[in-house]
Amino acid sequence: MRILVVEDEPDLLSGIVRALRTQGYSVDTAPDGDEGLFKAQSVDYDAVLLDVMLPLKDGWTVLRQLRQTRRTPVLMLTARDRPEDRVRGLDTGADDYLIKPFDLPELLARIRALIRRGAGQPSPAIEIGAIRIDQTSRKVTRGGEPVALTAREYVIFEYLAMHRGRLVSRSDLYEHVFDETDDSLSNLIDVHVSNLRKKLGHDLITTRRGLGYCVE
Amino acid sequence: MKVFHSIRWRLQFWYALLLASVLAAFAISAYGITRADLVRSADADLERRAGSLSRAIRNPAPPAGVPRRILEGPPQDDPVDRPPPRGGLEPPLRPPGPEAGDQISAASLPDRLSLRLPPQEEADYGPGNAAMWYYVIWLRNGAQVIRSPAAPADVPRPARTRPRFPAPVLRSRGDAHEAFLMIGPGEIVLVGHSLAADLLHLHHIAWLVTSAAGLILGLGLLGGHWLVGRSLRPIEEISSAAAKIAAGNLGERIGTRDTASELGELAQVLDTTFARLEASFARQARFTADAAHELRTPLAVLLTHTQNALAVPCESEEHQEAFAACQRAAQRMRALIESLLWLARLDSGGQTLTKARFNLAERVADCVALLRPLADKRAITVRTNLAQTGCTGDPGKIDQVIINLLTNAIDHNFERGEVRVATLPGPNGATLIVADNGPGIAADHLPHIFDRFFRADESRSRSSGGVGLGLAIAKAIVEAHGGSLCAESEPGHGATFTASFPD
Repeated sequence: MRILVVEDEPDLLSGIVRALRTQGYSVDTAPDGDEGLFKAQSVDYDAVLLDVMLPLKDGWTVLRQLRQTRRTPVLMLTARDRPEDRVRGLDTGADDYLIKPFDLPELLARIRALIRRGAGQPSPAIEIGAIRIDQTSRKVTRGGEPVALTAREYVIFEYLAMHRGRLVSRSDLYEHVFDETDDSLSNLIDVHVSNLRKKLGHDLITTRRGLGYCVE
Repeated sequence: MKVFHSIRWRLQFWYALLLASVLAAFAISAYGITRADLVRSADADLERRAGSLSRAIRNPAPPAGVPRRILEGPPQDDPVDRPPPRGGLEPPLRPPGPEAGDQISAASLPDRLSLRLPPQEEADYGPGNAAMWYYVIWLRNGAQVIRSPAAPADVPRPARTRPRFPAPVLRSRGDAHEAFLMIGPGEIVLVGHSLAADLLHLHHIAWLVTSAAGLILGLGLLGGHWLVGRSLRPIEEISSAAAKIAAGNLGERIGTRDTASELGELAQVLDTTFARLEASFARQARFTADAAHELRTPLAVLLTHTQNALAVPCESEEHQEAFAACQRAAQRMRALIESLLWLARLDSGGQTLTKARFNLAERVADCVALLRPLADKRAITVRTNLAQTGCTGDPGKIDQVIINLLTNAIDHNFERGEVRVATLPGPNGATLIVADNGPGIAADHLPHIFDRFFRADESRSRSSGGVGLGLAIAKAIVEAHGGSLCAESEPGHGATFTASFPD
């Protein structure tokens, strides 16, 4: 899952990024509105965390301009909490609204919910046959037995499971699993998928040669 | 009585009193002057007629055969011009003497005295005249009395006060004014005139004047009422605006259209003052809000990083404890900032209450359920006595009041204490009572219990995690609803908070 965090306070940005990366998300950052809008328009993020008070272009403008091209789920972060601000944020197209200061567990839970809703998966648990993904605890079980996955393997499998039945191209996967600081080669994905097949069963993930992967 | 203390009625009263006395003085003096004029002119007329009558007696139209001796008698000019004769003595200019004169008169005057009077006067004495002129002539010491037809029968013969004084003497009997003249010993000419008709006319005029004065007074009072009301209207506007401002609506202005009068100027000055007051309140509230907002981002940094650090096992227990302390401090600051923002919003009045009708009992039950774990932690029993109570207000904010009062009662109680919550419907609105049986509040602390950041017990409150704003917020919310929140306490026997919400 790839998330963009647009926040001008470097310490807060680093704290959020660290928390998100610990959770296995790939995180891109932008320190101002212009860069934030550019990145949000050019990459298909799973979620965007957008501060309202930003230099160059404020959060409202970024959100409005982003909504002209993309439906990326957006969580607004703001120090202003007047009800009219919230109404304005949600009416402009924000999917959720969180007031600073926030508790990290709440932020992470909201991001999970946002991504689930964005992928059309309202339940926090995905079951594929005997395999069950608990997105809250980020654990995968097979027939009730826990399966040990690395963080990256989990993310890849979660993304494929959330887009179950749909073809996910390698570049899609690459875009959602690795962030801008990652210089891993795209063929690493094949390695991770092959590891996933070993741990979860060979027929779970099918390969459409030249197109991508699919979980039926 | 309020009426007697109202400026409007006092002004009106004095105005009426002044107008009435001016009108009365005018009417009374006009009446007096007219009446005096009437009497004076009547009296002058009487004197003149008495003179001409006496001359006519002395110089009657000469009947045939009567020698005109009388012509040699008293002079025919105005008796006033003559020096007064010595009383009792025969004037030298009357050669025949009184006896001779009397005889002559007696002999010459018939019962029906024929007097040579000016025709106008003659007509006045005639029967049935409207002016009520009459004369009575006594001759020979009253032995012969000649009366004009209109003369009343009971005209007394004047006493001989100033015998033979040539000027007529005036007297009045009731409405009748009379002038008499001694024209000789025992001979008196009296001319009378009843003023009754004139006085009746005068009274008629007096009544007209009185009604006119009454009308003027009435019109004056109406005009005064209007004028006073108009000039006092700015005061009413000022008072109603000030009342609304006192009730918390700082945006209210007098906005009087009358800018020229003194009160209009006062209203403008007050409006300027209100504007500055509002601006200063708004500045203060904005400052609090801005400060709170500015604190939020650094606090978010603090919370994010401490929570990040605590999410993974720390290298040493010391570090772990340090991060935990930072996180606790950050959470306290967060509660403080939220409370400050609540108060700033309530102070600025910018937050409108989204009012709805709800059952207070249900709200209280929900809040009690919410805070049950907090009470259980200190083994405190929460007893409820919730009567179905309709209440109008902003449900979210009233929840905050309930939670703040309950938290206060739980925090300031002994372990294993008791908190009693009751809702009561009433004719004037809903009442919420939260009572505890804790240590109570000292009498000298009681007046400050709703002050911001006031703590009756520094050490204990701080450890319980409150920021000292809960009761201040509760009071501000209740007052924003137009209600009241008060505390009673007997030290050692707990405290009772009573919030009333008007309907």
